[in-house]
Amino acid sequence: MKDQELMLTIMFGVIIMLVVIVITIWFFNQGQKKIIAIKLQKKENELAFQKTLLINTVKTQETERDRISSELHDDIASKLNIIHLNIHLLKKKIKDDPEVEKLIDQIESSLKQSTDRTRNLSHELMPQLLKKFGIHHALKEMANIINISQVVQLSIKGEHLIQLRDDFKLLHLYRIIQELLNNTLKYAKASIVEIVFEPHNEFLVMTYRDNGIGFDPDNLTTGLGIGNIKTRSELLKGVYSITSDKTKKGMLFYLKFPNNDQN
Amino acid sequence: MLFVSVICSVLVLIQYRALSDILKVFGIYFLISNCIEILSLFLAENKISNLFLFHINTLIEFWFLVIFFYACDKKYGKPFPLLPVLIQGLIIILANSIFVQKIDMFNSYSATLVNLVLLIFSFRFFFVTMDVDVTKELKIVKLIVSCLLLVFGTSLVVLLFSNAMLSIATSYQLYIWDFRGILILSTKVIFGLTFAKLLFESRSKTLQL
Repeated sequence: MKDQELMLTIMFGVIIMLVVIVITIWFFNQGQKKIIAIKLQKKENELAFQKTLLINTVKTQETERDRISSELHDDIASKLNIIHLNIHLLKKKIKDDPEVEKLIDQIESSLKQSTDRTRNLSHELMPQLLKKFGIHHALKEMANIINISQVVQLSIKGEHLIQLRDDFKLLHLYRIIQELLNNTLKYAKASIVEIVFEPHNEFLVMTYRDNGIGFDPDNLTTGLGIGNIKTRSELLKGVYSITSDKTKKGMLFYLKFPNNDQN
Repeated sequence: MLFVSVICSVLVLIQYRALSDILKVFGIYFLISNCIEILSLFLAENKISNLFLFHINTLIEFWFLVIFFYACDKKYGKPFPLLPVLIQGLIIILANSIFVQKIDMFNSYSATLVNLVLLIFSFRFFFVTMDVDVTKELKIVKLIVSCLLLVFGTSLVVLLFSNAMLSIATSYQLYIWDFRGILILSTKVIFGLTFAKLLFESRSKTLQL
């Protein structure tokens, strides 16, 4: 009887120990699950915060660009034009002194350069055509300016299919194209650039292709404005891809975005 | 028991190269432990005392599992000082085997202490890995440590009462030892299945390639 009691005591001790261990393991697993869930939530929150911050930065940047562009165009450029007009009148009145006339010519020339530079700067900061006449005209103007240089031949097809009305969205699309063109002009040594817009259900697909030297996609850095393109693509609620290969010449950029403001 | 030990050892040997460092340490321990198990069964069959193997097994168990927990800590947390722990353990086990419970006796003291230390290391492992992201390897290691915890926990109680158990009838003693044996066998089956799963997965990966 005593033997049986001792055996049962030991067995009871073993079972208690097993139960304690199982509960401990369960407790640790539950704890780990909770900690990981909190970590994951924290990471998601951080990502969402960064995304919001980035979007707000881009929006603030555009608003500020618009403000400076308007100041340059409506205020400084206008005042420069008035000065130009007054100098022109002054030149007419002073005809006797060739030295003064020469000086006025120099001032006029510098003033013209400053006016042009101010206007260009204003247009670079915020394309006035986009603001006033819409993306179709802005893109046509962009193609005209590029084609006049005769360095690159730019063709844009299907831009009339763009149905976006939101000014910010149109600006983001314009900026993406601007960024891609900048990269092509700076690095690609391309002679032909082709931009095509094609409808795909309620989406619009934009393909940008150049015949430049291409690049290694693994070495893409933010210096190429990829971060900017990524943010603006996200603001358009679109998906994008960049394909290039050092051995196969050229670059292909693909962007698919909702072609209406509801999405 | 013999059959399971042989199968598990073969699985570890086949899979050894593909194992991570942590699992390699455990794999070696598992292999040696199985060899000792087989040898002890052989000696028992031939009516030769196998108690000295229990002394060797205690030392090997302590060394390899401490290195296993050290490898785990190195990967998932802050590692503890390995050498002092190994040397202190070695001195205590050897001192017990030479001066207290000699080589032909059952070494309940050092085995109890080793079980207690490994139990603490197992709990510590769970605590350390609480905020570590779960990977496939960590899942396997956690399964192994869970099994080790069950074995050490049971063994600790049995070993604590081992001297008292000598006074009770052999049939009752056997009940307790058999219960512990079944638990060890179950964990061996789990280890074997884990290694078999790894083997199966590595084979399927090769086929896919």
